[in-house]
Amino acid sequence: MEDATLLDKYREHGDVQALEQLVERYRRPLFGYILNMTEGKGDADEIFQEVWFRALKKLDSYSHKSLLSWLMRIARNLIIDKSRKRKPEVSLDKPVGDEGDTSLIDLVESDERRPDEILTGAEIEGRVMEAVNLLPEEQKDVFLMRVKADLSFKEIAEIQDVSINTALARMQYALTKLRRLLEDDL
Amino acid sequence: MMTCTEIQGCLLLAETGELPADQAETVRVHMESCAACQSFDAKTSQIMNLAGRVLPDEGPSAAILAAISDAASPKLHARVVPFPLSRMMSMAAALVALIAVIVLMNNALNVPDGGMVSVTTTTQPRVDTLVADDDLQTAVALLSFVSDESDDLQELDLSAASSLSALADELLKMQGFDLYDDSYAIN
Repeated sequence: MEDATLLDKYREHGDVQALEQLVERYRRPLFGYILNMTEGKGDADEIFQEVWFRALKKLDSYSHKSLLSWLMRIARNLIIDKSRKRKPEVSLDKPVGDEGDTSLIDLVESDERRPDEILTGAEIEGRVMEAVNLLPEEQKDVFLMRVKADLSFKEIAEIQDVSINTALARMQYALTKLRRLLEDDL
Repeated sequence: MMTCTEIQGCLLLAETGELPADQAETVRVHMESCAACQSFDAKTSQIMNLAGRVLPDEGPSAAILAAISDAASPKLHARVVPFPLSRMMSMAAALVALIAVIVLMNNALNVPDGGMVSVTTTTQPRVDTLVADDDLQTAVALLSFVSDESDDLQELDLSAASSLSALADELLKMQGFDLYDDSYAIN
């Protein structure tokens, strides 16, 4: 059953089961995005719940084409609000070290590992997660929306309030960095 | 003729179906014969597939899902939504304004103590006292006032008369009074 049909059943007839179907339909992509953009499952649980609470309050005025895009936009705003209340974000591109001429990504790439070392599947997975978490927030944001939620670049651009070209460029930068970070592992 | 770099820049949009048809065809033809771009695309897909698989998304706890279902329940939702503070403030402000208007009107009419006004006419009778509880009762009382045969002094409750002055005018006109005639006056 389509999103619009389920939404109508909930809005017009108070059919909670219809809404629960929508929650379940978008549980993995939405929670996957939130979980990987936040610090720990506790934060992710809290934001996931708040996303739906806010969506329920505004459901009468909802008119977006894509429910998932709308939910992702709410989630992104909540994540930004939460991160602002915490420590300043660290960018991979921000110079570090005494000379100020080294970036975190360089440090990651120089991570000591013997050439003959063979990574297991679990280790490769760990390296991928680590590499994704080292991406700058905006690139990670696009990467997760594309990979976990399967959103189009038009939808991502609307959520981030940027042009499609900017969203696309962020994805390309993210992939370039991930290629460099993982080139010995894949 | 697109270069390999340009083709590689189009691959992501081609994957989501957001590339214009003519460019999508160019990319497709190029990819059939370019090993470098095929390798680039394979690596990109490998990273994205691996990340999609290993990045956690197991879902929120059951308690969170239950809380959302509870909030979605219309009955519960109606119960937990508090009366908005802004609306309470607006109502309080409106009440204060109404009281202020009544006080100002009292002052403007120079009402004697007790909030009662004496009304005299030379031609109309009076009832002793009119106490209006609501608009309808006041209207009936005013109507009986102007149609009575006696011509004694009568006291009219100001709070009813002032708020219904327009109605009183209409009633007086219905009874044939000239509102600009000095045959009656408010003292």
